[in-house]
Formats: sequence, structure tokens, C-alpha cells
Amino acid sequence: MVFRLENLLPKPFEEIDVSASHVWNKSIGLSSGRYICLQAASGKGKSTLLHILYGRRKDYSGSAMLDGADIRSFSEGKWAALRQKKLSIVFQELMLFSELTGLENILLKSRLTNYYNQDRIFEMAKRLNVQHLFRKKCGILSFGEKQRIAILRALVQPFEWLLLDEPFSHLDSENSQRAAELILEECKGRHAGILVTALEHDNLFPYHEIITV
Amino acid sequence: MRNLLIWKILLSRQGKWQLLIAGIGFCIGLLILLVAVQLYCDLKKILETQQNRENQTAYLIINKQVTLLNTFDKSVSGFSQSEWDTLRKQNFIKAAGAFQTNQFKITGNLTQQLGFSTDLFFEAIPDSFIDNKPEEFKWEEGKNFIPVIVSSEFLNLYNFGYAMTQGLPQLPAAAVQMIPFEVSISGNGKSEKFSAKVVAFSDRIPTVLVPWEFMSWANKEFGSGIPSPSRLIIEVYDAGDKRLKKFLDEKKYIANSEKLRFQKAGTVLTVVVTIAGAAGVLFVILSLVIFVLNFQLILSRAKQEVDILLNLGYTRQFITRILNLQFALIVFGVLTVALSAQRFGVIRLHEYLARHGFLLKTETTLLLVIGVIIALFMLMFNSIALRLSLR
Repeated sequence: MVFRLENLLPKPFEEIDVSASHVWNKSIGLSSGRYICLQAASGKGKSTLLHILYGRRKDYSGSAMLDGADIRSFSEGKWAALRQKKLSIVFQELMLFSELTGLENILLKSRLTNYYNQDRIFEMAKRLNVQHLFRKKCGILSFGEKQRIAILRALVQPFEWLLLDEPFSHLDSENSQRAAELILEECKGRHAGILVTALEHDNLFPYHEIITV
Repeated sequence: MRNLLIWKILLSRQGKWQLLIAGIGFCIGLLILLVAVQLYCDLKKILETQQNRENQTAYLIINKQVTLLNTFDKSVSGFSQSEWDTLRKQNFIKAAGAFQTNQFKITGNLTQQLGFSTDLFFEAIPDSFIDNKPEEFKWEEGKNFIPVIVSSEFLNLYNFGYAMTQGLPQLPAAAVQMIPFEVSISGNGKSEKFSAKVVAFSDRIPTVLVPWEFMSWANKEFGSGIPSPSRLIIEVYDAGDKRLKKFLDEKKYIANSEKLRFQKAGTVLTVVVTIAGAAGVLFVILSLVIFVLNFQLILSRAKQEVDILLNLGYTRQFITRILNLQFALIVFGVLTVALSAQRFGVIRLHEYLARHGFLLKTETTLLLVIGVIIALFMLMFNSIALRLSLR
């Protein structure tokens, strides 16, 4: 799956000088199987780019193509199918249901495809050290705990691209390391690409490319 | 499992009170509607049964309107030969018979039994029109005993009107039939005494009947011959026949048709039942509106949740389906409750009516079909409204 961005420019950036960006108003391609870091300071549109690629935002000029098709033309059904099988994401704002438990939040995603069984999900949870949070409602968890639940949720489905929006922002280095290892394993297993946003350079993934947004 | 999770998410946004109130409203509306339908069926059945009963023995007693003219000239109220002929020619009239009244003076004497005597009147009609004619109701010249048939209404009037207020004993029908009394008739300067007894009571003929043969003989002997009749009894094929009604109206004849009264009552009852049914429909519609508004409220409150679900890869159709499923459970749950309650009530009502001679069928299939149609309509309406508000 290849994303191709041609002169893409979000509406809020129209009045801003984006000449330093290697994404906005440029022509770039993102091939799956590659590990790409989108790096920039706050407010440069890293999350916006992920949201555009995930079909959440349509307020932009230029075009974003997925395997040659303009993603703007995708129907709701098409997006649902992509989000179930081809694209997975960890939102910066996590988007967990606070009235559901950790496990329920993960199952809500997992039941769409039944990609992994519950044993496998518990195994993965152990690696991130969150299995003890499975019975607690997400509303009472810390942001770092929620972040790990959200990462697990993103990993229980098939995908070709994994979009990560500052996924370790509230994790200590040890937990970040564990999470990155699990993510990398899962992506290798699927031959999937990673598109991760970061404020500054890190060595959590063996990046093929670092793009300044 | 995932359905349950989505329910958990969406239902936490739900106004439980609104749903409860709408559910109760729906249940009441449905109940009223179903009861109204059942009552409508019952009424129809009763009216039909009544009609059939009337059709078999459709006897009407007709007379001319009593006006001031009749008060002074009795001959005006009599039926002339030509009127009589016209009447008999009508093909909706099966048979006609005249009432023959007495043209002489009659005194009934109950001195020995009850200590009073009174003036009486007798009437006679051909035997074939009498509903309750016992063997002994006959007379031939030379016999001293006169059998009498009295309207059961007279006995009721005596028992529940006269006796109650005058402190006299109430009399059962069998007792009345055991009391012989003396009848004196006089006229043309002659008089004769007879013994008489009530031999039967009639529901059809509201008068005091004696055998036709006796009346004819006595009118010749003590009166001025057989008079022109002022009342007729007719047997018709169908008392509901419009031609009959038109004929009677045109001739200004008055008929005592129980059926006409019954139908009037039936019409009034049908109107009442229809209004009740309409109220039921109104309730159902109002509850539907509350349901629909409630589900839209859920969706607008759960905008963020719906957004997350869509981002996880769920579709709007799927979310709508979950809400529809929940609504279906409510609707069919309420339907089951309403149908059971209705059935329970109707079975009691029918037991009561059965004790009063009305054997009625409890409509099961019809009510079930109506209930399911309403339920499906509500589901369809809600589904469309949900789809529109999710768009």
C-alpha cells in the first residue's frame, strides 16, 4: 500500500510559510513496509497528516492517494474496511471509552476481525505490563496506562500501515522500549509499515526515513 | 459480545425515564387498541347473532301513529281493507295478521284470591304468530274455560312496579299460572261468566291474548261484529330490509322492532369503540414520537462515541442496527405484555358475557397480526429516523 501526497496542504496552513516542510505542498510517496518518522515541533501538522491519511480530515487542498486512488472519494464503507484490515492507528488523544474496561476497549476492536484470540491478547498485555488493568475502567487509568491499552488495541487487527501519533509521550524509557519492541515484532510479522510522529529524534524504531513535517 | 459492548457505550447515554415513559405509553396505547379491536369484533358478532335471530323470527307489530285525530275518531287508527291488501302485497312481508280487539265489556274478578275486580281488555291474533303457544290455548263454542296468554312485560310491571310500591306480594310466573279467575263479559244486553287462567307468558306480543275463535265468537255474540284492526302483526324476511323501513315511513306506520333499537345501540357502541380505538392509535403514535426523539437524543449525546466507533472501523449501518435491535426488544417486549394483558382481560370479559348468553370467540390471530404490524411499522419508522439523524 503506497500513499502518495501531491501538493497536500491543510486549510489551517494556507496562510503559513510551509517551505521548510518536506510534506506540505510537496510531492512525496510513503511505501508500506518502511518505518518512517514524521518529525517536527508542535503545531506543524504531524497529527493533521495522520488524520488525513486515516480519513478523519478532509479540509485540505492538493491530493492524497492510496494505491492510486484519491482517498477523498472513499465511501464510509471503504474507510471502515480499510480501518479494519489495512490501517491501524494510535491516536494522540487515544480515543478509549472511559466506561469500558481495558479489556473491553481492546475486544471492541478485536471482535471486528478476530485476528487474535484472547490468550494472545493477554500475552501481549503481559509484555506491556498492563494485564492487571484489564478489569479496570479506562476512566480511572493514568494516561500512560491508557496509552499502552491504546497501543494494544491497535495491534489486535491486521494492517499494512500502523500510524502512531506520539505513542510514547507519557511512557518512561523502559516502558517505551518494551512497547516499541512489541510494535516492531507485530509489524515485521505483517510486513507492515510504521508512520510515527515524534517531536524530536529517537531511536525506538530502525527508521528507514525521517521526514520533517 | 461486541454488540453488548456497543450497547454499553450507547446505553450509558440513554434517558432511562424517557424510555420507561414511552414504553408505558406504548403499552397502554397498544392495550386500548387491541381491546377496542376485540370489542369491535365482539359487537359485530353480537349484532350478527341478533340479526340472525331476528331473521328467523322477524315479527313486527305495526300500528298507525296516534294523533289527536285518533283521540276523537277511533276509526282513523284502523287499517282499511285496501291498506291491508297493499300491505300483504309487499314481497318483503312473509305473512300478516290482524289484532282483534274486544267490542264488549270484560270484567275480571279476583275477589276470592286477591280481593279485587277490574275491567279488562282482550286481544286475539292468529295462532301462527304466537311465540309461546301451549296445547291448552284453544277454545270452542260451549266451553266455559278461557285460556289467556299475557305479555311477560305485564308480569314484570306488576312485580317490579305495582307490587313493590303497593305492598302487594310479588308473583312468580308459575304462581300466576295457578290462579284461576272469573271473567264476566257483557254486551248487546246479554252477559255470561267464564273461568279463566293465564296459561303462558309471551315475550313477543305485548297484550292480553285469548284464542281467536273465542274472540270472534264473543264479538259477534256480545259486540258489533269483527272490527277493522288497529294493530297488525307482520312476519318479514329481514327486519333490516331497507324497503321495509321505507314502506313503514311512507305509510306513517310505527313498528316495534327490537332489532331497530338494537342496531341503534350497536351503532352507538361501535362509535364509542372506534373512538377508543382512535385514542389507542394516538397513544401509540405519541409513544413512537417519544421513542424516536429519545433515540435521536442518544445519538446526539453519543456523538463522540459514535465518532470513535467509526474510527475503529465500525459503520453507521452497524450502529443503527444495534439501536434498532434494542428498540425491537423493547417493542416486542411491550407487545407481549400488552397482548397477554389484553388476553387476560378479554377472557374474563367473555366468561362474564358467556354467563349472559353471549358466546364469543377471543380473536388471537387477528390481534397478533395487528400487533406485529404496528411493531414492524414502529421499527421501520425508527430505523429511518435513526438513519437520517446519523447521516
